[in-house]
Amino acid sequence: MLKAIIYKEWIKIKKVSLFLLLIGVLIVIGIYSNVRHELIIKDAESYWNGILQQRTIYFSVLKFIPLIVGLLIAVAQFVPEIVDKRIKLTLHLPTNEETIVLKMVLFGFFCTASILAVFMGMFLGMGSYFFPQEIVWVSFLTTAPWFLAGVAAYFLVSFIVLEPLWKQRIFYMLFGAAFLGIFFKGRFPGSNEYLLWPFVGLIACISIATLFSIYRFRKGEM
Amino acid sequence: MENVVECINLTHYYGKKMVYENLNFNIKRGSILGLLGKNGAGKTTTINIINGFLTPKSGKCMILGEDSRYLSSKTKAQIGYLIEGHVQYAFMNIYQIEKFYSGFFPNWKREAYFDLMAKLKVTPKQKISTMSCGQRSQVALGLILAQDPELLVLDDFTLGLDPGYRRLFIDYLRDYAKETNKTIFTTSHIIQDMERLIDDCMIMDYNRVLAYMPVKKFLNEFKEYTIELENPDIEVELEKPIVNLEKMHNKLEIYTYASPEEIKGYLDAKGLAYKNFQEVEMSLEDAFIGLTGKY
Amino acid sequence: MLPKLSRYLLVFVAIFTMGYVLPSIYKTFFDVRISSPSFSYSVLHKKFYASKYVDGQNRFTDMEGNEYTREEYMDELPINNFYYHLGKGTLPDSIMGIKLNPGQLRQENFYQGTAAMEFAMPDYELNPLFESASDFGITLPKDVFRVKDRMEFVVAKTNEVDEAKSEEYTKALKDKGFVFPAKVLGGIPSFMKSRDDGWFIQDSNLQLFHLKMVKDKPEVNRINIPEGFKIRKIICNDHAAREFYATIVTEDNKIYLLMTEDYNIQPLPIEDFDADRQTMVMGGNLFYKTVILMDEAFTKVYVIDREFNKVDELKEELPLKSEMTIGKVEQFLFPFSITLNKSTSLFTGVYMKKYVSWSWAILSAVLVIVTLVLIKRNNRSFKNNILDIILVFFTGIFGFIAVHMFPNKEY
Repeated sequence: MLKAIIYKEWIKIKKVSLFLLLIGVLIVIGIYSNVRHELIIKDAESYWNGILQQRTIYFSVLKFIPLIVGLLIAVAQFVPEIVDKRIKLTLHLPTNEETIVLKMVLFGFFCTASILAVFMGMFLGMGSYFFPQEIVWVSFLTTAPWFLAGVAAYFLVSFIVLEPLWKQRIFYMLFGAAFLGIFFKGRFPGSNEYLLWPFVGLIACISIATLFSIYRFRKGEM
Repeated sequence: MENVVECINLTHYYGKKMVYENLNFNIKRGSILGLLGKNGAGKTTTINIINGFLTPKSGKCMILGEDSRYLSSKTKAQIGYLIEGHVQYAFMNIYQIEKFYSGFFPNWKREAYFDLMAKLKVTPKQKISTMSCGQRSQVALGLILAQDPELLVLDDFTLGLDPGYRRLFIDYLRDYAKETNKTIFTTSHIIQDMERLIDDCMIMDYNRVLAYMPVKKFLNEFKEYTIELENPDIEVELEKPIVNLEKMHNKLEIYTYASPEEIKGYLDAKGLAYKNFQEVEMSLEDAFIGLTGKY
Repeated sequence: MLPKLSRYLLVFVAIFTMGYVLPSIYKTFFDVRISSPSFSYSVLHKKFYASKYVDGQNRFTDMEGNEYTREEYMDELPINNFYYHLGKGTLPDSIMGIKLNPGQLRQENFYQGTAAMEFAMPDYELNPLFESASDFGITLPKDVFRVKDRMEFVVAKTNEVDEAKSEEYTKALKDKGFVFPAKVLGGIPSFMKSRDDGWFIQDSNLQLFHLKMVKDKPEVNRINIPEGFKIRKIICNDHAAREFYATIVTEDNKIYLLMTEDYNIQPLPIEDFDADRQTMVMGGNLFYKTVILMDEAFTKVYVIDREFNKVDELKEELPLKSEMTIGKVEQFLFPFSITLNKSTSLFTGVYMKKYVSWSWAILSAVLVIVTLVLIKRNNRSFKNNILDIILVFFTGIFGFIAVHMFPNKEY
């Protein structure tokens, strides 16, 4: 049964996932092509000095990429479910309604997280070719909230798309925008070190939010 | 014979708007019940309650012996469900969708589905979304046949079908149901051809049931008489035994369960002068319109 | 059960988000500026003067409330404003029996400041070691160093450790008794400075060392410090007078100067410094040093003479926002507020401000009543909504919005 669910979910998000994966990989490669170029045309030490003392962020182009990944995967996965109220078909399958929705979300989360993990792995891996571990570590601390924002966006957008009423959906969009904003409040490289676990906690809180949408649907909000 | 569906005192409101109060009906195993009503009469609401998508404000529905609010997976596997407009996962092609569904049903009848698909002129990779409404109805039907459920719940399946497909669908369904002793609950707002399918009918108007009986009995007992009034300006009251009236100038259509004699007696008692009393033959569609009114 | 849980989790996240968003919107619209006066100590009159920015212009007063014009104010404070007097040719010849000489005044004059957030900021822990005896000014070295289990230099061009140099410097430090790794480092990592004094490093045994690179060779000096001297921050300077290398702040919030002569550790007579909250500004001239501690509640000024004795002090309370209209309304509207950034740290965090006043309870009570009316109107049971009502009371407007944004559907 899980196989069947994965089969259907993958049909929906296959194209967008592979596309986003490609775009993200190109962006990371682009970042380091630029770094390499800078290291050659400038003195390497002054480029490092820019990072270490002026706190330059050489990867700001990465900022909203994970957010877009989470958002698009959620849209690709759940908009086809609400077109013509197809969610009824899903809820009518001979299995527990909550379980099946959670499995769908879990698979989408897995895909989102995998794509983001590839970006993060490439970003840090290539980073450690050009920079010492201290810079790589602070880069991790700086980008981690952006990546977490991607996961948060996935859960939030899934929940908002599945919400049956437009009026509520607009409220939830405003709420979601404000909530996602907090992932981008760091003013300084590495400044989010102590906020990562609270972020993870908040994401855990919204991870089962889709159940609330399904619950509302089943209580007759349609 | 046991009841596959039992709805007891169903009451539902959307906000303050009443859909219906204390609706009761049963469907016996092997019988076909048609819930007929105009758009907005509460047909889909009933379907949603039966499938457990909607919790009624009060009352309950027992499906195959289980409360519809807490259907077990086993029971859900015994309910075939066709959404209004033959909605399916249209982003898949006919092979993908079969592969998907077969993972959920242990008794999946693959051949039943592909027999039907073989008659469709679709390419193997064609997505369902690019198919015609008629083709999509066959896909949806094929999936239900493969599922081989005890109870088929069909929400306005005639919607959007051209006459050929509608006939095809109805005849196929009727043969299948009668051969395999399946129970069907179907709704429709298009009544044409429906008498070929259903055994019992329940005709619903906004927030009430107008008729609930076997179709044959309904067609036998529900009558239309026309008369021409001498005085076209006279107002005829809608009261027993008259069920519904349609008046055009001096022509009056009278819908009733009463015999011609009773109506004549009633008209005389009211002192209404008329001529040309005629009984009119009605199809189910005529009877439906006669009962629910044209508006 | 799970859908109920998912709702409460959403409500919690919404309360958190509202607790952050609404107060910040409120502040964006209604915040007021509190300008704290700047205080100066007059060598001539041995008293404090204040200059304050009020309604678009500067007002000059002394502590007795006498007002001065700008010219009078400048005349009362000749040393603090000696550039002005030099330009006008009105500088006194001598003060307190000391002859004033422009060159010396210029040399002894300094100003430095450290904000609380500099004590709480992320750090790469990679720094440049400059050539201290350069013939051609200060240039950026080709490498940066870390002091972990040894001293390592990483070359920027190759991102590889310079083994020979690392060995050399590790050995130089070890020879003087340095125990790796380093606890605290102090130095000026920028090349925008007038000279280089290298780095001051406290090791894991709380010993303090002075490391310089002189003609490409390590030069290490061990500095005698008191027992158990736990350093929190070493703030180095390149003041012209070369009186002290650095200002040292210890874990117990004491301030010391690390003197250039004999590496003397000179305590300053300042008692109530709080590095986590206050900005410390130090100014110096030929006669006195002033140390100003500032936070949102008060400004405190210490005047210290050349022998490091306290000459005078001044404490000025600042108007508190919580007692102004903006603060009172804020406490009425919000039971608490959450910020992610604060002025005293460069680290983000969940900084929750709980107000002392209970005035928010009035609004909470009103919102509870509104909630009860809504529950009644929609024929919902009170029993199923008890938790909502409790939430609305304790989280006020945040909870009110949250529980209604995620309605508790039931029938």
